[in-house]
Amino acid sequence: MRQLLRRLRYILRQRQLEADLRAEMAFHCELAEHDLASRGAARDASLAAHNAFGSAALAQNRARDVWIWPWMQDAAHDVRLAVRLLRKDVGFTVVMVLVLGAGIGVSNTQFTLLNAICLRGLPIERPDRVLSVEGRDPRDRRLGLSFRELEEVRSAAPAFAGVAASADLSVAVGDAGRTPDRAVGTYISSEAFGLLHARPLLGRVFEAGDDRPGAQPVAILANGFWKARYGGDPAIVGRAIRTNGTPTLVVGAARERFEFPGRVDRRAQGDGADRARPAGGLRRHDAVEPRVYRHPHRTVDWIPLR
Amino acid sequence: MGSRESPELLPGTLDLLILKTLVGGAMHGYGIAQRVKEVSEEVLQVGESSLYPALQRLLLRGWVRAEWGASENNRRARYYTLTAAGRKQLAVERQEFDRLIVAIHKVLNAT
Repeated sequence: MRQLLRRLRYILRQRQLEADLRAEMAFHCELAEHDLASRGAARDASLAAHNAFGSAALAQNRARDVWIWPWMQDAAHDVRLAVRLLRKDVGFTVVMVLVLGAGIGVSNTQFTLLNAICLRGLPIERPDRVLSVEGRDPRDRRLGLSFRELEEVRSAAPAFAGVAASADLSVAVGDAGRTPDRAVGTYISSEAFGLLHARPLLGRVFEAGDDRPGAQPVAILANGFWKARYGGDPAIVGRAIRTNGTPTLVVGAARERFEFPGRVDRRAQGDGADRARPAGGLRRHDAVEPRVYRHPHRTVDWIPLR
Repeated sequence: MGSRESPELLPGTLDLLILKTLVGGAMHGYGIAQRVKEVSEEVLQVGESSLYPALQRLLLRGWVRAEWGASENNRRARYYTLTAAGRKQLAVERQEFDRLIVAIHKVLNAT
């Protein structure tokens, strides 16, 4: 953060600071030449000066790269060039701007519609009040939370209506006498459905008892997956399937368009292909097994989901 | 002129050398380069094309501070001082460097 402020200050005062650096390096050069001369170094003076000039320009470029990322300098350069080119041919520019404007307008409208249908259609009453909590390691890579950390979040945040946990995984779903299908599934704690006020199409949602260690593993099938693999057969509820080899009881099937919030963005961009294939099965069983990830400098971020 | 940083210098070592050199007090860029050269008995020659970018990097990280002042021969020169954060960083980098050297030794002396 403070580095960012220093960077900003540099960009704002770039001219002055680069002049400083030039003065500083000229001083360096002078002293070096003075030293050479006093030691009577037998070197061609103009060649030495030329060498010094070359390395000075390089040093200044490298010094600038420290403060302003090279891609930003390149981008600024590109923009300047683009503006000059566009000014050269005003008629072309006007037509281009109109065409681009119309194009952007149309896709923007499409997105707004999609947004209204897909995102607002989510079974969450106030999406702006949902927070996602995740761990980050010192290099800002995402890490999950351990069960113990989840418990800490639970007790440290009494202002929340509730806290639910989830973890994505790849699931092979199998039945006797059929080839298994691979799907993306989500382990989810039992509170989640209550918090989202989600009702299934068939059967029931996960309940508090499903969370206890040793409980019968249960699954809710995503709507698309239910239709694709089981042809939308309502008799699936109450049947046992195998998820990654574990016998699992199907307790429900989700409504169309219900997907877990973690995948909202994929839905928004989806072109239909995403939804047509078995995209997800919601299920949970023994995820409450305490698994503790240890990391010495882990931080926890709170990220509002929109 | 034409002085070059020893190509064998391990990455990150230049920062360490600069920080260490500044422990003795404020110095300008040329002074730092000279000092490193002298103390290392001319083995380490820090070229300005690596010295000044390195100093800018240290400024950005907040490990050194720069102030304009008058040089020995009464010229305007930019003097660098170690900050508290820089002192801490020196200790960290030194430890890291020692660890690396010990590790290299171990590999070289392995039978």
